[in-house]
Order: sequence, then C-alpha cells, then structure tokens
Amino acid sequence: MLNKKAQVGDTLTWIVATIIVFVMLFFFIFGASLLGKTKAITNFKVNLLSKSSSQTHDLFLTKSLFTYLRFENTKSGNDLYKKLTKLEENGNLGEPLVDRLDELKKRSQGK
Amino acid sequence: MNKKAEEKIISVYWFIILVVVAGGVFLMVNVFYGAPYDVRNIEANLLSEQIANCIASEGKVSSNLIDYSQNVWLEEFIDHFTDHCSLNFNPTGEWEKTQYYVEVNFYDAFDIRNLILNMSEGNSNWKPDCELQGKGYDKLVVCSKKEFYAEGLSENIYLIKILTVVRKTEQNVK
Repeated sequence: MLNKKAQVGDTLTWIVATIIVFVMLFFFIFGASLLGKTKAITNFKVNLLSKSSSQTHDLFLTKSLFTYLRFENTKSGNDLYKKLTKLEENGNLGEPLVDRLDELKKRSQGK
Repeated sequence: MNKKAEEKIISVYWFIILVVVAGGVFLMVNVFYGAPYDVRNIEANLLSEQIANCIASEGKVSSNLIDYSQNVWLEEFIDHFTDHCSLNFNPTGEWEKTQYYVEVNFYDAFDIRNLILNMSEGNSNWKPDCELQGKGYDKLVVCSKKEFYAEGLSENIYLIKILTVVRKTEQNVK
C-alpha cells in the first residue's frame, strides 16, 4: 500500500514537471514570435545599438543650398532662403540650415 | 515494478522531453530570425537620391536634361530618364509587374501651381497606395517624398519634387 502511494506521488511530480516544461516552452515561443516581428530599417547605422545615423548630411538640403549660393544677395535668393527657413520650421530638413550653409560657404572658399 | 524497468521508462521520458525542448528552441529561433528586415524605406530614399543626383548638380538642373545653349528641355532624356539615371525597373524573380514607381515634378519655385515638367516611370498602380494611412495599409507600399530647389531654364528656380514608391511586400514584410 505504502509503495503504491509513493508511486502515485512520483507520477504526479513527473506530470507537473512535464506541464511546467510545456508551459514554459509555449511562453518562450510566444515571446519569440512577439519579438520577431518585421524590423523596419529606416536609416544607416554603424551598428544595431548606435543611435546616430551614419548619413551625416541631408542631400536635398545641400542641393537647395547650392542653388541658394548661385542666387545669393538677389531677390530670388532671399525668397529661396525664406522658403528653406519655412521648411526648417516645419521640421522638414535633416540638419540645421545655418550650420550646413556655413559649412558649404567655407568649403567653397577653400577653408 | 522493478528498478530496471522504472529506469527504462524514465530514460524514454527524458528522451521525449529532450526532443520537445530541442524542437521548441528550434521553433523559437526560427520564429525570431525568420522575420524579414523591411529595407524598403532605405531603398526608396536611395532611389530618390540617385534621381536627384542624376537630374541636378551644383544647384543647377543637369545639362543632360536641359540644353542650355538652345534653352530647351531634352525630350530624349525625359522619355527615358530611368535609363539615363542607370535605374532598372524591370521585374525580376517572382514578380511579373515592376515593383517601383517614380515621379519627378518640376514646379516654379515661387508659384507651386505652375507645373513645368512631369516625368514618371514604373507601375503607377502603386501611387494611390501612398495616400492610405493606418494599420495594415503600411504593408502595401513604402513611399518617399523629397523636394529640393535647382536653377533651370532662363535662370528660373524650380522646386523639384521626387516621389518614389517601392512595393516588394513579399520580400520585406511578414
């Protein structure tokens, strides 16, 4: 009788252990499926953990500023600069307008 | 039950558990690393940059597009601008239709209603999908809208708007 009781106890332990193993497996598989969603890559990075993008300059701003420099100190140039300032105010530029302009001016002067 | 038989049953049980756990680990790794990387955003931006570099440089519309000596647009370039910009939109692999659409519009910089020139190439069916917002629609296409200014004919300044659309949903989204 005592032997039978011990056998029932042992079996119950194994059944509970098996259930725990299955529950944990299910939990981890579910977690992996949640974490393993499509990862959208939006900008170039040096590595996965770095916050900054390796692309340092806004190409479209640079092109617009080259146009501005062709018309600098003219009415068209001033109007164009106002438009670029508006774009910056609306957050449509990838970097500060004045900084990039200064950089391009320095470069064109060969500094 | 004798001890030998008990040990046999337990070893079979352990073997089954081992197989189940190994299968579970395989499934977890497969589910996690099987998810694709959606690089369409970068692809669309690269496409915009390639086109921008092709049609304008140093603040001026390219001489491939405008004949400055005669002050005229070059129709040959306009009709085949993707070829001239080294872009190939031919469908490859599993697709029958091209997965790209590109549209370049030239406006008067100070009168946005005045459309001066329009060039487009690719599958225009993807364009309306850019306007769809919300959950579920983001899987359809990825669009990139860029704009910049450049000097054109008769020292006029143009606002050049570039729209690029990349579909390739099957390759990039689960």
